[in-house]
Amino acid sequence: MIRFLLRRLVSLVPVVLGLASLVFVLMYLVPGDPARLMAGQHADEQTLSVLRHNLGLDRPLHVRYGMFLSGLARGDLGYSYRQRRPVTTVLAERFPATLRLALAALAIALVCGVGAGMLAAVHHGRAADFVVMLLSLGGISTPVFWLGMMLIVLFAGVLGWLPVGGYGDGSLRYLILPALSLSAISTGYFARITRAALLEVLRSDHVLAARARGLSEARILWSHSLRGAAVPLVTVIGTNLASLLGGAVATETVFAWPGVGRAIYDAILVRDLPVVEGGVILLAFLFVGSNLLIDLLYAWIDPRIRLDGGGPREATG
Amino acid sequence: MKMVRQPLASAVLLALLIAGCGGSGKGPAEAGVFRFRIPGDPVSLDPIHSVDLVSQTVVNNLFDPLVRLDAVSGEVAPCLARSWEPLDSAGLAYRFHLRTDMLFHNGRAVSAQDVRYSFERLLAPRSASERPWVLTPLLGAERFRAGAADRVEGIVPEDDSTLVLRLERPWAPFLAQLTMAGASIVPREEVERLGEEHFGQTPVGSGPFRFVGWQHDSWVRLERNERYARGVPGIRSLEFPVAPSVAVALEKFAAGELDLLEQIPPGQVELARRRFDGQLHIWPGLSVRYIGFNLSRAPFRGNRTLRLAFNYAVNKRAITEVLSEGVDQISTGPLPPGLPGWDPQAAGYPFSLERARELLAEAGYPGGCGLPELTLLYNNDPQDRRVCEFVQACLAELGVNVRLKSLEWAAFLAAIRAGESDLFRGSWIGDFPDAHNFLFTLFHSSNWGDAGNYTRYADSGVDSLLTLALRVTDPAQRAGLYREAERRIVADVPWIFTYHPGQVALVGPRWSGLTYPLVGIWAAELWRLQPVAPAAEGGAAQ
Repeated sequence: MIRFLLRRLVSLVPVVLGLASLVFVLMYLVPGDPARLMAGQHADEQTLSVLRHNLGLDRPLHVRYGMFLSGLARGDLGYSYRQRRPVTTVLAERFPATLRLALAALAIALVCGVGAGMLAAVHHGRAADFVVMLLSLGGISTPVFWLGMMLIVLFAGVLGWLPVGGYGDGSLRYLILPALSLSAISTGYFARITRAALLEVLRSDHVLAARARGLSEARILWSHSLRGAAVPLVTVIGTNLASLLGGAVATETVFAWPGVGRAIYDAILVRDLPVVEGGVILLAFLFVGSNLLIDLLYAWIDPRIRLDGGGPREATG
Repeated sequence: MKMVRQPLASAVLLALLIAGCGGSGKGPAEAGVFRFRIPGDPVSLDPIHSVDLVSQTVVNNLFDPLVRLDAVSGEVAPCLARSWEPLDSAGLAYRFHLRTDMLFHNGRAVSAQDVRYSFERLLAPRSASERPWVLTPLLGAERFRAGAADRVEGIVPEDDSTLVLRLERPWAPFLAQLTMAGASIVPREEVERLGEEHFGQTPVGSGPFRFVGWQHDSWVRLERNERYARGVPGIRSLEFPVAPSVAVALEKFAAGELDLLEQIPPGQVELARRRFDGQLHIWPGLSVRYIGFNLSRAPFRGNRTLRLAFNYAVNKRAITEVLSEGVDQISTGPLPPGLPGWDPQAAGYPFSLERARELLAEAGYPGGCGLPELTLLYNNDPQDRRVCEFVQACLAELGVNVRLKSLEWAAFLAAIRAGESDLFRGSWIGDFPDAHNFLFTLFHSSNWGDAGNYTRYADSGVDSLLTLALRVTDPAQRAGLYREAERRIVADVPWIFTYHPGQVALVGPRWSGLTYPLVGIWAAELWRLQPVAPAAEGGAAQ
């Protein structure tokens, strides 16, 4: 187990390095001069050269890259060009909001998605199944932007129950609508995965045997089937959590939610390279971290999966 | 049963617990709080780094400059300085008399030494301010910036409340430049106590409001300065909620969560007018939008007749009345209406397809024959796209084939600086109400290409008029010079003159007495606001 963890952590280094370097080169290739964008059209050459020097933009690319790497090794992500503050501070301010939103959305998606998937599997081929499948398709294909707006119009506008947007004082009231709209896609996926996995398990020999022993349908579902269905579900949960943490830009924009995704997006527009770099590195860590967590969960759900055995991972019901 | 449901259930519970920590919500209309939507997070609340409109909107309420712009007339008006007089006829020096009753938010009185400190801080290269040009006309400013002097010679405090400012050369817009956010006065001890980095996060000024808190990307909150000698504001606190999406901001306004919502884009104006009867306000702005010709290469280089044909081909009235829903004004030249130097008699180039066809033939391209496909570059803003598509359609009527190319803002700026297209969508928002700020920036040959003169226009006659106007102190004479310069520029047709954007805002029903600013910066201290329902207010009104 320890060996497995160590191996995974070591394998993280090239991933983060590769990503960071890719972003560095891409931001360099994209036209747009950060100093010009900051100084505006009025700026004279002297102002621009002072700014460029101050931001380190007057150094050759390989020197800047080297400085960036040595900073990274020390855990220093540098200073935001635009805000003139450490990138770690900028991201640390926004990460709690992103985490809250992602976890709330994940919670909603788990409760609604898994519940709906179970309902559909049990009532396979009947009306409930059809309705759940239709709704989940809707959830997956509805643009977050539109859904968010509709939720605002209904719950904040017409009914007046909840605030329109913003982080407010951090209370739950402000979290409900953004979490609901962010969870739609994941809810749809969870419902479909749960249904498919459960159907497969419910058709399997050991469920047939359980039925033969005269166990009730509910007992079969809870004790004999869910665990078998959990492995594919956990995989999807992991990848979803990572994308919920990183891909909430649209939701964060609609609901004026002060998260990391929006910070990166805004930083790209003004070519604030250090913030983009830092944000991408943070998201890479989160992505790999979620995957690691899933692998640990696998082993816990299904003891036949060996983490440090190195053999092929497979789980059949 | 316990195998999977429990971990799932506990994960859900844990997530809800983490997500749900927080206090209780606030009501939408808290007494005495004025809520002013901003579209994004301020870059910095340090005056020397507040380069964007959002930062300046907040900074102007926290800090005082020596002189302010009168929000309505656009004239330079007293602020920290109660009066000033020129010391010579050439406009090379001014003596300012400071008020003695102005205090920083930490309780210390503002003095002439603070002005020196603040001005030198803006100019110092180690500050790396984006806006040193505001003060570079000062005597010795360039030497100070180059490290050849450790003081700016032209800043002379005579005593605590008297200050002389000397200039390197006559610079007529100097007083107007002093009204800009960058020239605000800051207390040295607070900058040094907090450090340069934190001063912009927890600013201390002498303005009508003092800083309370800032949750990045979420809100900024100010409280009124109860000891503000120029008149305590009528608003107890000023809150700036960040709301990037206009559609969502409109819903916030409808729900009573905002008192002021500006920058309502075309396409939403008529809807807002119908939905919020009597709460929509439209007034002129201080900016210009145009389609620029690339004058440094064919086909527009040296072909004025062709440029003229393009001007007559575009129906400006359709743009202002249909595309921008009556908010904007037709442009007859670069200067916005009302600015000293603007000519109310100028006719511009009114739409006439017939005249355009004649001119096109005269220019050597009858019916568009022989003219290659032209590119029109714009940044990806919905209104700019609509306007450019419309221009494309107008020119197609002539037989001219235009290809549209859209880029995001930073790449767009880089492309027009490099002169990469035949035509481009240009815009300029005035920093202060002075024709110099428009004509010099956009047409003087010293700004050729990279620094604002993107059309690459160059005319020695116009150059000398613009340079002369900097030295003339008599306002009427200056206006005459700018009028002449503008007349010549319009005659040379460097642009398709399109429109001057107006300003639009929704103002909620809780307050009355707002003044609408000419330069898009609101100064809440100027509002003598009255809550409309006094019963609902906690004694906030004056």
